[in-house]
Amino acid sequence: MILDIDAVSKTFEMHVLDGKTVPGLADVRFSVDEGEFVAIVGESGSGKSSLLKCIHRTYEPTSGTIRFRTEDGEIDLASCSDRDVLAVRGSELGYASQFLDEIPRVPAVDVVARPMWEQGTDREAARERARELLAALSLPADLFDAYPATFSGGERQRVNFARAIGPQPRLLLLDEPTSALDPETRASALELLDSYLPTSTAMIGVFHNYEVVRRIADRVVVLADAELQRVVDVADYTPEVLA
Amino acid sequence: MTVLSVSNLGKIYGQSCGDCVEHTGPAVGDNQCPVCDSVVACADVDFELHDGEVLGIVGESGSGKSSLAEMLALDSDATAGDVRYDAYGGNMLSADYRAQHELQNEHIGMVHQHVQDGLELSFSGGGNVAEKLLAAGWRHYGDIRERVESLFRETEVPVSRMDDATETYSGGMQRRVQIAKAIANDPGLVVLDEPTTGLDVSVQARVLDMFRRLQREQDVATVVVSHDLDVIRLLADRTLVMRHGRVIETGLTDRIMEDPHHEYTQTLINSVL
Repeated sequence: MILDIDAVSKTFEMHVLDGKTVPGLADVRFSVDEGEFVAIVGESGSGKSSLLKCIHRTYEPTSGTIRFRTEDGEIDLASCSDRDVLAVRGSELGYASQFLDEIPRVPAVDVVARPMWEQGTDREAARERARELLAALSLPADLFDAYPATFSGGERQRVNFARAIGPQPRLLLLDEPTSALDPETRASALELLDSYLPTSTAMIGVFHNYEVVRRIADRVVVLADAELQRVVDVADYTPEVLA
Repeated sequence: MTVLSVSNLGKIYGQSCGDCVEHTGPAVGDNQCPVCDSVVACADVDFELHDGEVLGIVGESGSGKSSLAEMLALDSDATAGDVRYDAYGGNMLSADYRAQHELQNEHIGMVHQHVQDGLELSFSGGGNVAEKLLAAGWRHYGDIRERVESLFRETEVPVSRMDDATETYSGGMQRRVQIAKAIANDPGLVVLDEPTTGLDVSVQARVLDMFRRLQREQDVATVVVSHDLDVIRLLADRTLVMRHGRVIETGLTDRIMEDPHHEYTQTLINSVL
């Protein structure tokens, strides 16, 4: 087991709404093994992204524990220090958000290479690997040195995807990383997860597409209204709703 | 590992009645003491900074963030607290003038919001940077010139402009020269006060990217003070939110931006245009 989520809840207190509280997640629990792919499904607003953000500590869970087995021992991502979170992000814990968020005027190849050289990879080697990843995602080569701000949604998403998998984290969180891609590019992206990442890599991914879930997931976590409905093997999973 | 350790740091302007800290702050909604009219620029600030970390300090005008930056850079005196740098054995606030200057010259780099506070505009750009080297004991003309050239290249200032008066430089170049000067002596700590204010948007991005590259390459601990959330988001790993002279919330920068807890932080995040 690499990750154990136990009784995790997240409540948002909205001061602009006179302290109204909004539930994000309620009592979610499941665990993930090394090499396993767990898909998170549920309708919009069911808490899928909130769950990934709690694991990444972009959201601070209100209660519960998220025990992550790092190479240097176990930490509770729900309660450990900010410094401990920063230490595992990148090398051990990766996150591909839905939207690319980068310094303007940085060429695509450097956006992808940066997390790798910040992990200690030599600058040119990191750039070379970034080019390979972008090429595998069929980003036109003449865009490698252009600024992603001018890219289409699908092109930006490819850059974002390459950036997240670049450092080969042990646990990778994917928030609809292929939503803006055409079927062919999406297939290349999923193939890249197989070919580029070590088989021991654990992944938790939010997907809206049933075909994608069936193709890559081992197990499926179903959320509804911030609560965990069920956790099933992908073979036993039939979607009632995939909004 | 720990470059800077700050506890209970505070600064009061005026003759304090002794209870100003209790009479001010977010709970009261003001930083001016109703009893003695002193202004509590900041109080009760605690944090630790390790090698290579970037700490953001965000807040509106008058929140105390620039006062804090000036104290950390030893440009102004604190009135309370304990500040320890790894380059000096004890509480900096009780160090003598000489020790403070040595620390300031050799171990701390400051990039000021107002260029005239950081550079002598009638001097050449190269001369401004050389001044910092001279203060740290550099004496050989050729070595100094070589070092300044290399700093100009690192901060992307044209070396061909090195001997021109700094007042003839563009705003972006002046900011780069300040950064070159700040990192000249390989400091343990760099303090950036509003690093992009007054620059064109396109120049802002390049200055930030250049600084981020240098910061990572040299693994220098950095405090960046800004009212601009984008600057904080792009540079800082962790962030302190200040209001009425107090730290009201602290956390990972992305957590502060996406899951702000304090009422004021929520307002601040929601105010972005």
